[in-house]
Amino acid sequence: MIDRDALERVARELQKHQLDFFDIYVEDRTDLSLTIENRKLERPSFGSVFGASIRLIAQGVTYFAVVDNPTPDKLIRAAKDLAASATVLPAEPGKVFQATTMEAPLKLSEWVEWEALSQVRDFLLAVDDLARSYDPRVSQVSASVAQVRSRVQILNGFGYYAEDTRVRTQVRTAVWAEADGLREAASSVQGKSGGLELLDRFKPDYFAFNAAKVAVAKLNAVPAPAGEFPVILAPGFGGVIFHEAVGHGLEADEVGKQVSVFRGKLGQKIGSEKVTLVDSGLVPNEWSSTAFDDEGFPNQETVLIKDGELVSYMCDYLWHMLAGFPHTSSGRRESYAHIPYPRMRNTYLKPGSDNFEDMLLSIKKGVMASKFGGGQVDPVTGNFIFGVTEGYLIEDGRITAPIKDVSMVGNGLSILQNVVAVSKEGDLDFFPGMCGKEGQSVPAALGQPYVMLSKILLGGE
Amino acid sequence: MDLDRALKIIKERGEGDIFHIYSKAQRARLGCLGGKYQWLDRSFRETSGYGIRVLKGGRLGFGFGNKEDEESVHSVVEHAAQAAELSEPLPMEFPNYRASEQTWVRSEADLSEAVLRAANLLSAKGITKFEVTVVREEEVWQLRNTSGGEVTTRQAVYWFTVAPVVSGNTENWNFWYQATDDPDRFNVKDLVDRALERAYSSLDGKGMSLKNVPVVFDLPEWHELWDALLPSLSGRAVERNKSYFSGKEGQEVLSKHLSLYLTCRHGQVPEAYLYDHEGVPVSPTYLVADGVFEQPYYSLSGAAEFGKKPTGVGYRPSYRQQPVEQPFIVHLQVGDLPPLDSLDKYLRITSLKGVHSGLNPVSGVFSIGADGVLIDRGERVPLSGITLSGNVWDVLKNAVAASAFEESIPAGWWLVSPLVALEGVTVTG
Repeated sequence: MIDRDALERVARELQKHQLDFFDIYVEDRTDLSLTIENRKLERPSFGSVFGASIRLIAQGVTYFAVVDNPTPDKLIRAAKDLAASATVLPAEPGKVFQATTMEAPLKLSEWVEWEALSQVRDFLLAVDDLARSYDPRVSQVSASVAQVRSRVQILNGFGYYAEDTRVRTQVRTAVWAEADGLREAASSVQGKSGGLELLDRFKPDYFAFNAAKVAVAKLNAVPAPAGEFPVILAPGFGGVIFHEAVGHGLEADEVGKQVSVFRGKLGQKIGSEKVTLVDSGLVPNEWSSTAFDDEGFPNQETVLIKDGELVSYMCDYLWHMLAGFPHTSSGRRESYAHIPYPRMRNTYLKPGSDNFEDMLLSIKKGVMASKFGGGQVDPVTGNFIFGVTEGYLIEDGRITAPIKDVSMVGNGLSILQNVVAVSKEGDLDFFPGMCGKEGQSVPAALGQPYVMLSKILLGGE
Repeated sequence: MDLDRALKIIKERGEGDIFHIYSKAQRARLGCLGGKYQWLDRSFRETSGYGIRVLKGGRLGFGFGNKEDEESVHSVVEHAAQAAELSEPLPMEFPNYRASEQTWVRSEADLSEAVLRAANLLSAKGITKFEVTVVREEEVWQLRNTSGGEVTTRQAVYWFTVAPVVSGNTENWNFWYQATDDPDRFNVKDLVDRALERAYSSLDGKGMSLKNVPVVFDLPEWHELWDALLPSLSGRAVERNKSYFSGKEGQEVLSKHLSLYLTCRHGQVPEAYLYDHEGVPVSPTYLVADGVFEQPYYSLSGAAEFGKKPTGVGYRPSYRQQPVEQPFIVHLQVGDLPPLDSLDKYLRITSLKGVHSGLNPVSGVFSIGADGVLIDRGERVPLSGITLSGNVWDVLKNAVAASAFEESIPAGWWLVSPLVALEGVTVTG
C-alpha cells in the first residue's frame, strides 16, 4: 500500500487548484477461484493486482487517471498531469490540507483466509457427490468457490482518510437433470462478506440438495399460466425485481439525467403502505457491506421508500453537488481503474407482519417465483421483463407443481403499488448478486422476505 | 516487462506461457439536458498486467498479476504451479508460431471535437436530451511460451457512441455505436441518424399481436441474439452434450440460405485478428455452411481435451482471466434470398429485453420483450412492450429475405451480417 504521508502529499498537489472535489483511491486486491465440472477440477486461478486512481471534479466535470503499480512519485506526476488537463485555476494561497482518519462504522468479523487452492477441493467434490446421490437423473454438476480480498486506502478532498479491508467469498453450484430427452438446470448460490467460514455455515449438502431438488423437479414442470395472476416472490432472489425495476431508477445519476421514471417523485406516495425499501452498506457480514463507500465517506443505511412514500435517492458526492440530493454514501466502483457512480449496496424490502401461509391461502390461482434468470428494465418508463427460472404453480391455496421457465412482464411503479403482503423478519434472506452499470460490475445483494403482488403479467402458455 | 526473464522462471516449474497486455484508453463524454451541454467526464487510463499458465505433468494452472518485479513474477508462477497440481491432465502443447501484427488507426482525432461534432448534429435536429461518448483505445499484447511461440499484436481504434432521448407523447431512448480506425473521415452523421431512427422507431408505440409477419432484428439486437446462441457452437458445449448442436454434425440446423463463418479479418472490421490470445492462428472456418452444421470451434485446451485442432478462439477478456472459447469475427453469410423491401409487411426490432434470461439456447425456446416498428406497405407503426416467442432454432430455419448490404457491429466479438427477415416468431402485446 502507499504511505499515508505520501497520499497527503498527492492531495496537497491537487489542492493547489480550484476543485469541487477529489479523491485518491489505492487498491491491493487478490482473487482466488476454483471450479469443478463433472468432478474435474477446472480453471484454478490465483492472482493479485495493485493500482491507484485519482479523480478530480472541477465545475461539475470529472477528470480521472489510473496509475498501475503506484509509487508516491507516479501519483504526484499523475496528479499534476490531471490538473493540467482540466485547465483549472490556481487555488487561493494559504489553504491548508488536513487529513483525518475516519472511524469505521462497520467492522469485518474475523474471517478465515484461503491460502492454498487445495483447501476447498474436498468441499467441491463433496457437492458433486451429494448432488449425484440425490437422484439418478442428475447428469451434470458444476460448483465453484471464489474469494476476493481487497485492501483499499481512500483520501478525499475533505481530508477524509479511510482504510478498509474487504473480503468476499461466494459458492455457486449448478446441477443438470435429464430424463426422456428433457434437460433442466437449477442453481444454488451463497456469498457473504468474510472468508472460508462460509463453507462451515453452508455445508456441501446445502448447495447440492437445493440445486438437485429443483433441477429434478423441473423435469415434471407444467406450463405456466398466461395472463395476469397474483404472484408470491420468494425470499432473497425474489428481490431482484425491486433491484432492477425500482432500485436503478432511484440512483441519483439516472434521476439527475432525467432518464428515471422516479424523477420528481420525492415525497410522493409511489407504492402501497406495505413497501419500505432500504439500501444499506452496513448489514453485518452481508455480501455488499463495507465500512466506507468508494469516495472515502463512512457507509450508511438509506431508507429509499418508507411505507410507500419515496423519501430518498441513492446519491454519491458528485450528484449531491450537481443536483442537491442528500448524500447517502452510495459512490461505488468496480476497482481502482473505474470512476465511481451511485450504486446499490444491499437493497432489501423491510419485513412486514404478514404470514406466508396466509398469502398462499388467499390465492386461488397464481405463481410463486423463487429464482430469476435475470432481466432487463427500461429506466425511462420503468417497464421490465424477467425470466423466472424456478417457479411453482399455486392452486386453491397450495403449491401444486413446478412450472416451466416463464417471463414476467411489468412496470416498476405498478409493482410497488401492487404489493399486498410482506412476511415477517424471520423470512428475510439475501442473495449475493453482481450488478452491472456503466461497464462496471460490483457486488450487490438482493433481499426480502416473502412478498405478494396482487397481479403481474406472466407470459406462459 | 522482461518477458524472457519471466519465461525462464516459468521453465523452472514446467512448461507454460505468459500473456502480457498494455492498454491505454482516453474517453470524453458529454451530456445534454434541456439543450444545455455538460461535459460529464474525461478519463485517461493506462494499465498493464500479465497472466501466466504453467503446465506441469499435463496439468494446467493459472496465475496473474500486475507487479512486474522478479519477486512478484516468481510469486505468480508459484501460484500457477500450485493451481496446476489441482487440475486434470490434458494432452496440451503450446504452439510455436512467431508473428507480429499491427492494426493501427489511420488518423487521429481530438476527442472533444469529435464529441461536439455529434452533439451539434443532434442539437440541430432539435434533440435536447442525449449523451455522446468518444473513446480512443490502444492495446499491445505479447504472448510468449516455452515452445518458442512469440506473438505480438498492436491495435488502436476509436469508438463513437450516441444515445439520444426523443419525445412525443412519451419519451424513448435508444443508441448506436461504431468503431473506426479513421476518425477523421468517420461519418458522424450516419451514426446520429441511425441512433435517432432507432429512438423514433418505437416512440409512443403500442402493443399488438401479430401472426405470420416476418421479423427483422436490427444489428445490435441481432448481435445480442447471437451472443446468447454462439456459445452453443463452442467445442466444450458440443462435446459435453450441453448444446443444441451436440450430435448434429452434418445435419441441417439453420436455413439453407445461412452460413456462419469464423474469420480473422473482414473489410468492414477495422481490426484484424490473425492470432488468438493463446498464440494460435485464427483459422477461417465454416461452423455452419448452407444451413448444415460443419464443426464447433475449439480453444487450445478445448481441442486438447477432445483431440481436435484448435480454431483460434482463445480469447482473454483481460490479463486476469484464462482464455475462454470465443470467436473474434463471425461473418453471417446469406445466400440467395429476396431483398427486404420485397416484403409488404415486416416487423423491425430495435430493442430487446431479457434475451439471456428469456432464451434457452439448448431447447431454443424463447420469450423475450421487445420494441420496434411494423412496416406495413410503407406505413410505419411504432410498437412497444411486445413479447416475441417461439423456438429460435426453428425460426432460424425460416429466413425469407435479407438486406442487400452487410453491416458490422462489435460487442465483445464482431458480427458481420446483413439484416435477415425470419418467419415463425409469435408476437404478442
